[in-house]
Amino acid sequence: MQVRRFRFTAILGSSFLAFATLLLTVSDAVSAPQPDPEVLVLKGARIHTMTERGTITGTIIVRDGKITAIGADLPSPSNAREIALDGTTIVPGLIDSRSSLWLTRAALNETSTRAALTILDGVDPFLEDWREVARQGVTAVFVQPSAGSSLGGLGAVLRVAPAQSVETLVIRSDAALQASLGITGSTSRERFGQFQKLQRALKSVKDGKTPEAEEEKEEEASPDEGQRGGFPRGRTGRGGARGAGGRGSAPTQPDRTKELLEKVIAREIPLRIEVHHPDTLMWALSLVTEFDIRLVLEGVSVPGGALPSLAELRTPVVLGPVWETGKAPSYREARADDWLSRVTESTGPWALGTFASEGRSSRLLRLHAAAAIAAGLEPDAVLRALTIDAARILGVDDTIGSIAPGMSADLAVFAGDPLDPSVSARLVLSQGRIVFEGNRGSRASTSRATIDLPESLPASYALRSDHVLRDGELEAATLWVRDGKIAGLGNSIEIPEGTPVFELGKGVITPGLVAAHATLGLSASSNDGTESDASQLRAIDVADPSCDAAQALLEGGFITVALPPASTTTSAGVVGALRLGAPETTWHPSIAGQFVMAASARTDQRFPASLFGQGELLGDLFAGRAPATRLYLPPSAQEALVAERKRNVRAVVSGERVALIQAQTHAEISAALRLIAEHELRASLVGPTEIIDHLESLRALGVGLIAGPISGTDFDRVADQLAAASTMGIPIAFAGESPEEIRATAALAVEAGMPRDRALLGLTRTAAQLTGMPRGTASLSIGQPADLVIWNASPLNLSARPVRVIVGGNVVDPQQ
Amino acid sequence: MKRRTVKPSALALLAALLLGAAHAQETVLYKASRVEPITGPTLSPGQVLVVDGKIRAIGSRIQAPSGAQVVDLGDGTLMPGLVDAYNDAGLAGGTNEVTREITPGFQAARVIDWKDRRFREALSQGTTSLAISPGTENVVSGLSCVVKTAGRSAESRRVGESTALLISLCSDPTRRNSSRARPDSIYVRQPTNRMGVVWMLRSTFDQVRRGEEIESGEWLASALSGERPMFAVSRTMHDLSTLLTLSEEFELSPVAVGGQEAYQLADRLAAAKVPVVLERLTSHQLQGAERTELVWNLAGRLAKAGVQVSLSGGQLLEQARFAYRFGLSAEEALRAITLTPARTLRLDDRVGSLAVGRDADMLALDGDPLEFTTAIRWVMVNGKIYENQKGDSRGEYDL
Repeated sequence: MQVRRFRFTAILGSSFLAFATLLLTVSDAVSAPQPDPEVLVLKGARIHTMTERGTITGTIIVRDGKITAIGADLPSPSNAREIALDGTTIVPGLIDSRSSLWLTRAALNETSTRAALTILDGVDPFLEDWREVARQGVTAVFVQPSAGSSLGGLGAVLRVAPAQSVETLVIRSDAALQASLGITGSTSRERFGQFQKLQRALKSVKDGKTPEAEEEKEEEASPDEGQRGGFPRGRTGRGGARGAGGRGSAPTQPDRTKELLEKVIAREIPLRIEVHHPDTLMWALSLVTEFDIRLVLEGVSVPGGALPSLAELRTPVVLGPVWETGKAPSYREARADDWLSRVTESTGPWALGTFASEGRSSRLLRLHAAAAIAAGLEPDAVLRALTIDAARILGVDDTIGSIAPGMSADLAVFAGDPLDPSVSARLVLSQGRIVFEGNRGSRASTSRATIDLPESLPASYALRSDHVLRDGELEAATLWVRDGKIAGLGNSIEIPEGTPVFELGKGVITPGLVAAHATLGLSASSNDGTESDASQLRAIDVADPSCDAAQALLEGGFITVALPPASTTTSAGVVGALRLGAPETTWHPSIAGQFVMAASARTDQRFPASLFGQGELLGDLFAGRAPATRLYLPPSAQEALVAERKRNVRAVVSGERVALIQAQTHAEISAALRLIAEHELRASLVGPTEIIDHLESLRALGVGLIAGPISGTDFDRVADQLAAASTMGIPIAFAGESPEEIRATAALAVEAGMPRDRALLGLTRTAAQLTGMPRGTASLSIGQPADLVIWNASPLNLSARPVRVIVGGNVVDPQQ
Repeated sequence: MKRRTVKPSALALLAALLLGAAHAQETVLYKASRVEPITGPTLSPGQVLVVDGKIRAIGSRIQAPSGAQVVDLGDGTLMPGLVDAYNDAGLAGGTNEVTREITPGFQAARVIDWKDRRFREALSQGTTSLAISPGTENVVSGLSCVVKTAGRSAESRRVGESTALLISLCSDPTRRNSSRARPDSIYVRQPTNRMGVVWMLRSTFDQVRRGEEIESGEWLASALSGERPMFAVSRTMHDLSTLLTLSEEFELSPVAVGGQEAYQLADRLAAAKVPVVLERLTSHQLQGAERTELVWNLAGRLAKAGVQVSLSGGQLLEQARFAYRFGLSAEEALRAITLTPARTLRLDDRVGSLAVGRDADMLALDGDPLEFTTAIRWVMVNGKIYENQKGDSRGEYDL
């Protein structure tokens, strides 16, 4: 029993918070609730008003939480707080049209959904996730009960700001009645059953009856707005006019489901249906014709033959997730690559949602937006989808979504392009109150360009661009390619006459990017868990450069790949380097040894079962004491095996190859650093997450980091730590399985304050160095193979796409 | 024994990094209406002079040297920081190397997560030194390591590197193991029953005594010779009785850890001078063979018989209050969470009491430490105060 509660344990108990605080005090300040500033004047920024005024440069005046004036040259009222924002861009606070922010774990895991639920009953206004979301300029989210059954309950639009109660968060409490078709049920017949249920419910209400009893037999009195305001829950419902008359329900219990459906029929609130298949889309649209309701669709992954009907009715849709790593749920698996452009071409207004299952994942909204642009959508349309169009679809466009007098002062100020996730927010306001203020990161240097380059190139040619990546900076230069190699590079170089010169303007030329740790889905083939010393394995022996993962990397601009063996053994084997798209795909068979201090190599079945054992084993190996093999082999084969293992370990200890050590936690990294120091290894850590206490040691020992992919569920601290390490001069490269994932990690690190040049090098030269690739890999230098990628913007801008991937001087044909 | 080829330059570099910033010379006189030095009678009032993280003087009439800062705790109480002799806070990446049964070389000191939140919890409960001990799934589990619960750097927090050898004289190592009719693997983990545990211990002790080479045998040898404390996790009467038998056989002076049924052997344990480190005392369940409330006075009965009793496993102050409530004397209750565990770990020259030359690890309390309503005001580790109620001291707990 604790006699007294210790405040510091309560606060510090979560080490994440302590860490977050530490970082925040260094770089940024998330403001604690402040006294509302009387008048705020935002001066000098470029303002996307999202109204007919378009984009202007000027001033916004905010008073009492609302925008009172906007104009090119407005005088400041007296005693106003002026904030100079020259060079920045202001947009209305971004809106995630499908989020899980503020929802309790219980609400997120809720499976028995029913129409009478109200999502506000699942909101916890004291959750902390909002900070990370606000930091990305997102100021409003739409949340709804989980979408498991046909009728799910009432969704709401909430603010992203500190809150004392649920009420202070609500922008609109009845934004939509949620339903879904085909989230469960794999056959069309099952889905039709769900549709019929929905249709019957609507029909019975329209005919003035109570919807047939399906799920609405409630044990408790139905929640409604009045009770949420703190009134005791009683068995008597509110005195609503028509509520109490339903057949089959007690007279004192108003039928909430019926009430809500009546509002849907009366077009007071929209019905919002999540659909993915063509059949469910068609049926959902038929409800509009049958009942004349307001319909909003979600998902629409496989519109198929229902697309013309969607186009005809111009039903608003909420689309997403656009940025998705890992496996998609079964109902979304069949989504085509061009899904987004096809749907947005034919539909009415559309909005974007993260469709996140964790509250803080809404902070990646801009990542989804950038992915949408990379998929070919117009940046203007995407910005509308995050602001005014989202507000219209959610029915809150009288409050948020545009910048005009009378609107709520929910604003996001970015250091550059708001839709470039590597650009960080400078200032975020919610109802005129500063909810985030920061000064991280640098401005994006490039904007999107259109590039004209033929599909096939001659043996000798030159490329000219304003943005050629040299030493981390994008500079104007001419690059001369002859016979597949770089023959010249510089601002004014001598090129033989008659050599064609292609002007790329603002297009960006980088060396082929490097995936610093990508298994290409081949772990299973390079996994020999029999003995924990598997130093003899070579990942290159199982490399399949034609596999889907490799092709995706190549098309995404990643030409060089450090291919590791599986990470299930403590000494995992030899890392190889691939050069995708080249006639000979093996770039180097053995660049590094992989050693695993992480949990993935611990098993009770054999030594080592503990981190201590891992340290012992590796210490022995590095000291030349390889354990004898227990494999049942003839003595000569055993000898050969042990000799091969020793050879590979010796190559690492001698410094000929790099040691790639997988270590994630604080203790694992400590143990790894001890080994690195003891044996003076040339080493990089793979996938470290708790590095903040080791920065000094990392720098002193010259150890680089290969950062694991950052996912939606990660906290901002992961990116913040990378930024802190990079600022200290620790080299960082990026691991990941897909081009989007690797670039997103780099972009998020830049957003958190990692210098842009270091991040660009981390995608190229630094990655090659940290993984022990041959000198000159992934840098534009004379004599190196002409492995280039031409982008329409910087690769750190996730809305950029590789326009051409050139390997050995030739354009890679994606069809091959 | 394995010798590592250590490259001194690189190690020195790492050590220098870990050492962190040295703290400035500081002289502070702490005054309180009650000071419990543990090694002597209560001082009332009392003063403790702390210079540079060490206790320079203690008494009831100490004047502040010139230039010294004075902290007056008024009617508060000062006592030594608590010592937890058996805990697994901070042990990262597996508490046992279960792929072998005898792992005397398993050093907790090598795999510490200095940021483990359990250190902060322990600190907030008044614990300043804690013996991180390997788990009980191996017959010989390895070496514990004593650390402070707070401090700027890992180096400043280390008190003992490989303090005590842990063996398991209970059924825990047999868990998950089962005898098989025929071997289907080259390795079948032993032992499968408690008898097997004892056999393994006995044969390993014999091997070491005979000078046969076993892996990391030097650690076991040093524990057998009494050079290093040997902590034997023994809970039931049978475990403890076997421990006494083995002690006689091999002339050991072990420490019994666990000791849930130790009251049944209290006199034998006292006669054999075997100290007992009790695992967490609880009130919510009745332990021991009898399952009566009598067992709640376990600590009291052991102490009465003359056994050196320590309390362990976290929430030490609460446990001492509980033990006191059911019969342990007040003096013994305070010793059981300070000096006795420090002696058992053979670190009483550094921690466990307020005496000249000891580390300045102290607790400042509002009143009587054994009163359930008394709150901890602050906890001091190596002369540095960690406030309990202030929320602004976050950064100070970093390691």
